[in-house]
Amino acid sequence: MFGDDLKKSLEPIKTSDELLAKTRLAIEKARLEQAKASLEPAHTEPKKRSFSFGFSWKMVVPIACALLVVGGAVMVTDYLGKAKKAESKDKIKTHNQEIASLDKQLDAAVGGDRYNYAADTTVASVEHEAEDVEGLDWENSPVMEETTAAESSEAASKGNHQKSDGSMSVRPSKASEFYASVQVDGSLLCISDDRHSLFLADPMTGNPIPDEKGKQVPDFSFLDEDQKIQGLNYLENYGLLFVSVSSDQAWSKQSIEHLYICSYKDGVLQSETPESCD
Amino acid sequence: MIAEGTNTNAGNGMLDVEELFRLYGNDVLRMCNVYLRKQSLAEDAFQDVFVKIMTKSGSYRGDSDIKYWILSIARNVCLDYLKSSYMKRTSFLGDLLDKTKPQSEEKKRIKPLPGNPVEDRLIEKLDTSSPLLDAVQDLPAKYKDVILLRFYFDMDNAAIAKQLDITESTVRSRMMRARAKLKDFWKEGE
Repeated sequence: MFGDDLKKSLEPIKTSDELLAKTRLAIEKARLEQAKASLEPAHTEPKKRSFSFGFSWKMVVPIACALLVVGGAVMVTDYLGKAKKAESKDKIKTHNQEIASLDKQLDAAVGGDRYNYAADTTVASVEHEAEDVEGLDWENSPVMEETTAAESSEAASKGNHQKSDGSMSVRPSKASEFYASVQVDGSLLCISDDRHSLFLADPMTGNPIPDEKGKQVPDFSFLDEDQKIQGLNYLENYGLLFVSVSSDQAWSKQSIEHLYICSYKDGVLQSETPESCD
Repeated sequence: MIAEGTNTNAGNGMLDVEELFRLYGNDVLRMCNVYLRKQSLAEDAFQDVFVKIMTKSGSYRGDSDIKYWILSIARNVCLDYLKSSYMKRTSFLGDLLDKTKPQSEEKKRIKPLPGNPVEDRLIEKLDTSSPLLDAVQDLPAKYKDVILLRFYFDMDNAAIAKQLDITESTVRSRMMRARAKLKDFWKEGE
């Protein structure tokens, strides 16, 4: 029988006294630990619990608080930063709007060919420099050579509509020193609408006045069609009138500048044909 | 063999350990040996089984035979041992010995050298092992369950099903498969 064979094969396996003794010891030990655990349930378990709880709460709560504080601070600073940015953006926007409206007003006032105010500072310094060299023979001096076509072009592009006070420096080298009309010997010398000729006008009313003897205007009839008078400058002390002329060459998209001089002596034009300074 | 209905003061929460040793000690050790295949492990499991029995005697309600309760504890302890990573990672010298097992004539020539516990253990294994026991030990645990309970503890299919918490048909199918694996040890007419 299979069962009998199996029992026979298992028969040699028996518990030894040593094994039983070991087992008794293990049982006693386990019982002792069990008794210890059962005797001190109120002390051990809560202690363990309190240790674990204490550990978790003592560590987690401060960390959580710190995280909350840091997170809150970050959020607040972020919010404030954004608010400041928005505020500054608004300010810039309103400022730009104001500038734009002012630009429009200025454009409307000057007819779209507005004076560059930013250049004023350089003009002031140039004038100061010019005052230093006042009295020199500027025609033959190298200073005159500096009056380049580029500078004249700059002057022309600025569109000068201011009145000359007659106290300009010797060197008419800057844009702001050229005007659409200048006062010459009590009369106003103006550039015509087509910018091909000059005429005299009443300084009080602005009405053109017919040519009088001894009060002639320089003749610019020699100008080509593409050449236009850009600006005027009159140096009262020297009796010199500077006329800048620009030449529009569409093919090169460049404006070539020419500078002409007319000499006035005692309010009378010395020669009708201006001299070129180029 | 486990004696049914033996007075061990069971049921009142007081188990006599000496009485349990006497009645169930050998059976528990043999069961552990069949499951774990190693004498040393079987002895460790034996200690654990009785420690559990004695420390958890309060959980025994006395509504069933204490034999079944002890057997279920022993089986669970053995299965825990088998599931442990130690068992999965360890290969025993006994396994190697099984593969190069000497024949019965050779067994007789091997004599234990006194004072060497390892050799004593190996010789002990050689002496106690039998082809049938080896074959049963090599079975998967679920077949060992039914073979042990049926042929060693003389339990019927219903009792085995209740003990293992499976259906009787499962017990029968497992028994069939186990017998198929042990067909070399089955005599005709059984």
